Amino acid sequence: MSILVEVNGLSKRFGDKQALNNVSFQINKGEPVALVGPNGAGKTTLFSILCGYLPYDTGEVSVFGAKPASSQTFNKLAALPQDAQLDPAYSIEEQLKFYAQLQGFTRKQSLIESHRTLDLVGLNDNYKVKPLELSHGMRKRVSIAQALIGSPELIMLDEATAGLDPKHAKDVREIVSRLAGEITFVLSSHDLSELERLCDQVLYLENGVLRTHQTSDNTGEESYLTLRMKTQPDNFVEIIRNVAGVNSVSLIQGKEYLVSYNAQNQSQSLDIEILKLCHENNWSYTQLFNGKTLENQLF
Amino acid sequence: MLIDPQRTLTIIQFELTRLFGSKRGLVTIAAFSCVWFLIYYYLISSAADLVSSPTFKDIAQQVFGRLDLLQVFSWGIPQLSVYWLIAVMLLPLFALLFACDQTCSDRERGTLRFILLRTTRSELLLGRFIGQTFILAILIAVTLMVSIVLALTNDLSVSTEQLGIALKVYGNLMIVVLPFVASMSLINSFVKSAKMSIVTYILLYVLGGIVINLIGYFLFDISLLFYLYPGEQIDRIITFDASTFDQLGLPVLQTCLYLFAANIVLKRASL
Repeated sequence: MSILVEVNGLSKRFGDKQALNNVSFQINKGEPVALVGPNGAGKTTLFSILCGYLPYDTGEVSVFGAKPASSQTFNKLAALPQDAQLDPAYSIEEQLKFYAQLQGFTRKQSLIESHRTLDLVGLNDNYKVKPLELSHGMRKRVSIAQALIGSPELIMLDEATAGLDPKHAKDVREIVSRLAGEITFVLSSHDLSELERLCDQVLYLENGVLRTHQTSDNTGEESYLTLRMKTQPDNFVEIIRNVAGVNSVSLIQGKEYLVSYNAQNQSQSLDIEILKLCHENNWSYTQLFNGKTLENQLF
Repeated sequence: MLIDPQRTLTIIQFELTRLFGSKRGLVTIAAFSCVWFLIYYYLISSAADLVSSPTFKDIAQQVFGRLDLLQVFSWGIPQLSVYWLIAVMLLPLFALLFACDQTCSDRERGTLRFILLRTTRSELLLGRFIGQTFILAILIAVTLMVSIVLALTNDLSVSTEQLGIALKVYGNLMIVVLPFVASMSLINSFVKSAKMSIVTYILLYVLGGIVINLIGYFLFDISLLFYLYPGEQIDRIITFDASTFDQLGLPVLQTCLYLFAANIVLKRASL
């Protein structure tokens, strides 16, 4: 498996604040990776260092085997930097053409490429428009379009769907999902359900420290099911706990239950059994999740 | 520091469209044209009278601190002589104004983050510097040609020798403006807006001059630092008989020094 990004002992300080503290991880070619953490955790700092926008204090950072921002990363690494804005003086088509030309496209090819990427994000009627004439969400989509120029191997999207309406947020997720086979995505977002849908690998940053570097697979001896109910049935916990193989049932939050069980002791799949019980007891559920939700894994 | 010529060329071409293809750029050209229209209308069109006027000669000699300006007035094309004296003083100011926003606005807005995923900081710096220099080259060429056309319309014939002088004027003006553009490249690498770059330039050079003079008066002589000032050689090259160092060496050295410093600052800058 080829390593796209390798970070060892990375630290970065802004004045008194330790933004990143001895962070080490690697990103391999393949499934999308989520970068999660509370505000001020160091996500954007990490993105910025990987893209070469920020110098770092100590540690080693390798992107495609080279230092960040070196010419070896051009055409391979693309990114949607948080809060970066396009030049208001030029139309979005002109700017994307310019970026494509910098990536080696000819004048004619760059026009085709700018249209292709704008079409991908649903801006096919706005080629000649200048950024200030677009809404915040549309500008965000142009920024995503610039990340899709050419054939990058790694795309880092910092808060890609923040500020987008549900339809276009879904479109962006679909683009990521569709391209995930050929491009490795690194996604930063506060929307954990979104990351859950897209990513297997999670990098969890808190106070500049990489707390978790895990996959969200339901592996190991103890397995989990998360069940979100419409109501909170009185005897739910007792009934489920009596099912063979179930170790514990706990109410996590609101109407959401976490069922811990030993998969090897199951005569039939627990999920089927729980759904049967829901039907027999007339319990309405909204979601059955195989494993712990990302939110429950991290917090 | 490896520079990719293709990417640098792309940046230069885009820089040219910034002036000639954007509304803001066209407004700037309009303002530039208005100033030059006034100069042509009031000064260059009546150059023949001015050159023969002792008052004008006195003023010119006082402005440049030189008593040997006769050489400039003996070119045989008064329009070119007056153009040279005005342009050598005015074009550095235009160079500062045109070049005051090479990277700062893009950095502040975050646009550089899109660009720097595709090109190195050194290529961007060089591309924008060359782009600005090209813009000035075009504008200087146009203003110079208008002066020659004015001479021709005043029934003056222009000889090959005089055309050679015109080319020399062009070359000298280009060399004069280079360090001004490069000094702006340096200032742009650490300020956040075009306005701030102009203010910083004024503060650096005016306050810097005062400090150098005060240290020289009270402590020790550091007047060599004035050689860092763009345009330091202007009063010596005005008569076209200055040394090669003054005409070419000093401004080119200053330009290289400023670009080198700008490259170091920009490479270390957080975006």
